Amino acid sequence: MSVILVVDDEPDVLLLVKTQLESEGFQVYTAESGREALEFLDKNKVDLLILDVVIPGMSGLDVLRKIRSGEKSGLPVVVFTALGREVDMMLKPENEADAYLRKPYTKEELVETVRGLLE
Amino acid sequence: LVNQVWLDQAGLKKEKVLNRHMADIFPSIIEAGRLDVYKEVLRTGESRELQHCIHPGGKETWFNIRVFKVGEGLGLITRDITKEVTYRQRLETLHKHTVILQNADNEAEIVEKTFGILVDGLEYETVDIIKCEDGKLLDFHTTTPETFEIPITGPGITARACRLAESQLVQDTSKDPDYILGTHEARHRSELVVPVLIEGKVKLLINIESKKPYSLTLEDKKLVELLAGHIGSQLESLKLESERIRANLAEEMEEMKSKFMHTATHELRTPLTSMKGFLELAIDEDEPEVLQRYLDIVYRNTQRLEALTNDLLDQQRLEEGGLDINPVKVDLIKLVSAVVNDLEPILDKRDQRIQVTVPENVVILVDEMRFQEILFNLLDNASKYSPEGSTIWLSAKVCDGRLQVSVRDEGIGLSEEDISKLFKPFPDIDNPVVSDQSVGLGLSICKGIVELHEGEIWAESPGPGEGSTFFFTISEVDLD
Repeated sequence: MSVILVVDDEPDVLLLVKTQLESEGFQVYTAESGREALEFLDKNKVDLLILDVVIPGMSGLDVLRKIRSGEKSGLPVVVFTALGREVDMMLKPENEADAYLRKPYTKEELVETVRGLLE
Repeated sequence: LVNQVWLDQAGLKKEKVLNRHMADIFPSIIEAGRLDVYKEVLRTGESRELQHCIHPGGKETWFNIRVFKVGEGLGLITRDITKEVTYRQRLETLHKHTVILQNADNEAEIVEKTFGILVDGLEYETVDIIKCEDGKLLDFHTTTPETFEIPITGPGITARACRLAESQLVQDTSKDPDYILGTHEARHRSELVVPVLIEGKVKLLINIESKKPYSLTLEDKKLVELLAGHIGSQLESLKLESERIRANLAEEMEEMKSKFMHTATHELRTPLTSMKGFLELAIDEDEPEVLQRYLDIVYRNTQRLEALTNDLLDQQRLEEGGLDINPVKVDLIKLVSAVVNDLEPILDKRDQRIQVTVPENVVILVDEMRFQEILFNLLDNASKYSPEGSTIWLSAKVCDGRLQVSVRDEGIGLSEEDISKLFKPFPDIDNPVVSDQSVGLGLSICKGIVELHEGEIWAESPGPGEGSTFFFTISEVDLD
């Protein structure tokens, strides 16, 4: 069973993603900040990361950069965006995520994106 | 030998001059300095020049005297240079005065100073500074009491100067077909009009008139043209400067607007994400209890979306001046109690306490709903950014006829930089506890509402981690 970590500062969104993915048979963990996410990644085996751009403290971008330059640089990352400048920032080569999901998304979009990256 | 012109200039008669000693006629001719010059000319044979000023009939007259050797004696050729000397003096006066123009930073000030230079510095009696705008000539600054507004296509020497964008010197106005005999100008007989050009277009006209024909000269024209050139370049650089400032401001506004839109979109998408997602789940959910939980979440997010759209609307109205307040007389304690009651569930959840110190019998003139909104916002923030189990102090006092309300907390505190940005829409607060998602329009709207009540709002903090205090004032207070 694939393990997915979701990072978002909105408890409702965390619950939503968790519910949607668990119903598809994934094992889902959640984190509310970048620091919490990095700590979790250090100690646990994770197959895929879903990251919101706007999270408290360390931004989603900082987290992505840290992962890409660390031991787990190959970890598939999906980034939640909300259009606009965030997209421009994210599309810079050094920040490249494996997939982008625009909020609000549909369950189908989420599941397809996640499956596509895990195959 | 002596010629008539010299006699006229010096105010002398021929028979009184011939065969007399020069020193008897002009004692100054043998004054110490001059004698040295004569001796030198006699010794070396090289000619020299002297300048000399006399005052026949009180009028200052300047001569240039050329001294040269003739046989064993001296010859003197004198020439009237009064015109040149006066021009030079006036030019110096002009230069001295134009320095003050450089400190002027708007059109009106430049025009006023120019007027001063013409009247006080160059001693012109009748001066008009005329504005050329939308094809019309308008009085701007003048020594004459009459004001006018004439089209540039109309008659008059000024209109002609404006059309041709060229100075007009009319020595005798009675001979000029364009001259209008104004009620006040009947006596004026010579006129000088000099245009001030900005980017090749006539912006102002300087009009100088004199009662006597032929009293304004080409020298006057040169002087005023020089001044007009100064003003023109000064006005041009002012225009460029103000255009640059305007362009910068527009750019800043554009950037702020785009940032605002970006943040607002993000803020709207967040509750929308939960609503869309949980509704999707609800559609396929059969278990009544789970369904209820999903719908609760959807409902909560709908409320959040509603509050946010209301905030966006308020913010827009405040910016465009379209937010109306409806001030009524209300008892302060009644208002405060209502807000504190609303807040209690929030405080209970976080195990926080509130201490209220509010004077009795104070009636304020405020928009009831809006006042509660400000107070609720400040208290809600104090709770949100303070640790569980902490205390919040709400106090109000009347000083100098104003009501001052303060909300103090033991929370995350603020840096000086944060304080400066705090009351702007969607501020970027550089604090790890505060994500930019949770700081929205609340304080910006509070500031707008307080200002509509002619009050002030501000924040103080000893620094990050050391709590903060928010203050606001209300000016309409009744004390029983």
